[in-house]
Amino acid sequence: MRIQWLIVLVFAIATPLSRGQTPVAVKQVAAPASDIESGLVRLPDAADLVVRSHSLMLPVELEHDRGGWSWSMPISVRTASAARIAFLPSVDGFWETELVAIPAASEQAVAEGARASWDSLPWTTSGRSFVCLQTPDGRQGSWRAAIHSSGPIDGYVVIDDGSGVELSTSVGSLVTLSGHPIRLHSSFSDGYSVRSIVAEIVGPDGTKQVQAPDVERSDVVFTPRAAGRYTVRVTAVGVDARGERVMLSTQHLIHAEQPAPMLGRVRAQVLGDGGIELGFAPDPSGRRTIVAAEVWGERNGEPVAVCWLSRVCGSDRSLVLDPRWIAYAGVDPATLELRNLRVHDVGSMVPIEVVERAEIGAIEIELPAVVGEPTADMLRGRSARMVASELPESVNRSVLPGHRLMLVHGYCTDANPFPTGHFSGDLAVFEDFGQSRSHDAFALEMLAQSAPMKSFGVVGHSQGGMGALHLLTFYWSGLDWARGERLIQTVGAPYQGTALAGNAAVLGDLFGFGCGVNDSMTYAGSAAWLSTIPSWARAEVWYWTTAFEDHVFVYDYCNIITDLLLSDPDDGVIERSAGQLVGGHSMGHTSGWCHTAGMRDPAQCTDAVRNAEMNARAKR
Amino acid sequence: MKHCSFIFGMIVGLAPLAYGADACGGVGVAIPDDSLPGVVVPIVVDAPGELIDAVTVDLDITHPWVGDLVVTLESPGGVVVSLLDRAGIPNTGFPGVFGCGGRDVLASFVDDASQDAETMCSTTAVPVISGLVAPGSLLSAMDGGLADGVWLLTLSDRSAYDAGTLNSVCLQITTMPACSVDFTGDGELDIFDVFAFLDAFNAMDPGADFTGDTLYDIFDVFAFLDAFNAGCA
Repeated sequence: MRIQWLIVLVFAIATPLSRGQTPVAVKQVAAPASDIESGLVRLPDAADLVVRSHSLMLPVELEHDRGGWSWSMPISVRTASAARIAFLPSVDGFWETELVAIPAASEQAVAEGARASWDSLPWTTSGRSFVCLQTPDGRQGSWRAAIHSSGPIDGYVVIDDGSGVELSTSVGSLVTLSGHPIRLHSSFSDGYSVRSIVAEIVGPDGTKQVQAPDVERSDVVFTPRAAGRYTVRVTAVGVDARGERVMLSTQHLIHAEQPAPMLGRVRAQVLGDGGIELGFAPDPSGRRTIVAAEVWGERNGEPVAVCWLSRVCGSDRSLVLDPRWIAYAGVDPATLELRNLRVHDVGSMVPIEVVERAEIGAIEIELPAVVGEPTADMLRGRSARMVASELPESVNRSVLPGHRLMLVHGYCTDANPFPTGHFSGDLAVFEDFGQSRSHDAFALEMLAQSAPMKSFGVVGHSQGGMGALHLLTFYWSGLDWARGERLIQTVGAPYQGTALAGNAAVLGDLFGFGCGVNDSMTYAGSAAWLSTIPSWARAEVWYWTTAFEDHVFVYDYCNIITDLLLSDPDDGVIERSAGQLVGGHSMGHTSGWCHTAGMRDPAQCTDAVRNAEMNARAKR
Repeated sequence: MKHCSFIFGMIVGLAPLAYGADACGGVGVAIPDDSLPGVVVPIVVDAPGELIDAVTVDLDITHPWVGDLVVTLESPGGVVVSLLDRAGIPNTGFPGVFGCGGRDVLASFVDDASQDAETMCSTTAVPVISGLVAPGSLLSAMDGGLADGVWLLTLSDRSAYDAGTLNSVCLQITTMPACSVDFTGDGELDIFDVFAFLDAFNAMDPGADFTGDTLYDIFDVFAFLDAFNAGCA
């Protein structure tokens, strides 16, 4: 045994590392067959990952008109619900906005004029508020939104006509690669059919292309020429049987990945400790990926799922199968094969290659005794494999090691959102302010900052929850040694993504981002990531969602602008539905709390009652 | 053969063995947290004239982070053997820079064990170090030394935040009779053993009564020389 450790150590030392890279210990992750059968660790059907929108995001270019600059648009309000329009000028102070009934001369229209509210736009450059005009409830009819300006200041408007009709757009495949066509399919709800569709696509270098496919083929298809992030704004006009029209848009952030060398044939060999190494063609670039596969075998001639494997890999791409899984499943080792073998970029989580089936070939192995239940060693491995990673420099290294509770903030924040006075004992405050990181990079930052601790549990906000879950799943850290009741407790974590990721990416072209776009939190990126998180890791998560207080006969929201882009109920950033983690412990949904400070209701991280519970129950 | 005792009145078991000596001790001894010198637990083995042939150490420790622990055993002859040396350190990523975070030790340390404490860490097993375990260095280094006397078990906790308790330690020592003419006790028969015998004879030391008749006479000298010439097995 000593010799094996020595070999691993020597290998780790001998592996050439890029400048600034540090070896980190990765887990050989496994999941039981039940995770395969439940679909938990399977790539979802891309058609199910729909971006839904009940609003229209429209770029505004003012026209010169009688010495000034202006823009206007009719809005038809056909239901009792109010219409709302948010005005988002690129420069503050130049737009005079109005929303007036047509005809506007009646006394009633003047008396029931549009109400104005002001709010910020989360994630975009801070410090600016935007006006949102709203028609009175129940005031149906024709309205006109207008902008007047002294200069040609462009911007966006976001319009929700209150009809409740939704535009749904899905990307044809999660495998989005440069040089390969990407298809987006759109459809309307409420019996509306697509009458016209236009897509504006902005590439990673800022080049813009506009596509207007014919209505017969309402799908938008574009081919990313280079790897990188593409923003896509799909605007569609729908019409119902009565001829009523609606115009809505969906916004998307799509990461086109660079293809990787093919995995090739599986090379199986039995290791000294009895594990079966399943090796694939190496990737000389050393690009970090997650390799995952289902292991199947035959029992009495019938195919049986054995287990699911995954691991963060570098240039060496391999998985290790613990032979106890074979004994546990009771399959013939000569019949083993891999199914749904896939490689994800560890940052974007885009599947780079998906192989339906791959033969393992004959292996000579002496099976161990049948185990009663899968053990922790089988699920997490006891691997000492190291992968070179850019482990960030910690900005908050604690002085002494200990058993701590780490308070972890989310994406793009400038302060710890949890009042430290609500927590007791040995605390660590994660500090990585003003950043946009993938879940993997977030997890590695947590690993760096937790390095001085023997063990720790997490109370996380927003992306802090996903970062902790990613860390627990793929890397060895102090999370594995924490003791107590609840390892990861989260508030407002968008486990299934948020529509704001795509919307913010589009708006970011104009408004800029302090932190940058984040494709880990799109619906597609989140679904791809979740498909690599097994049940044993999910079971370590306790999570809460919140939303605004819903008063009777009052239009409620956390942020009036993001409310135009999200489906209720939401906390101003994430929707309740997207905050659910299948396999985790849902601790419920409470009203009256919003995602961050500065929204209509108090910030969800300041709930003293919930914080007291999390503090008392936390593992450390 | 007789034997087995130990000090502090904490006798937990006396099991006389033919050509062997068992001694236990250390019940409920606290291991100070984050202390380099740690705690030293003496164990007295009563095995006069017997040499160590093999040693097995049974350790029962309650500790929430076994990677903190350095445990050594010193024989009466001063030979020091490492039993545990911060299991998991140095590491290659697992279990982490603080070593094995597993809980408790209930193990028998024996040279030919197939398990190595350095590599048996687990996030769930309690006790995490259990069964037959190979020591950090070979216990056979003590072989041939005198079994009789005070053995020292040193337990040192090298990292803060986790403290534990030694519940018990038992030494199972297989012995062989010492050579009666090796008066210097250096494992060799030479002229110095003869001189040492004559000194003992002149001092009427009971060890020089080779005939066992309580008399110190020429027959004791003849008996010694016969045995000396015959050598020791």
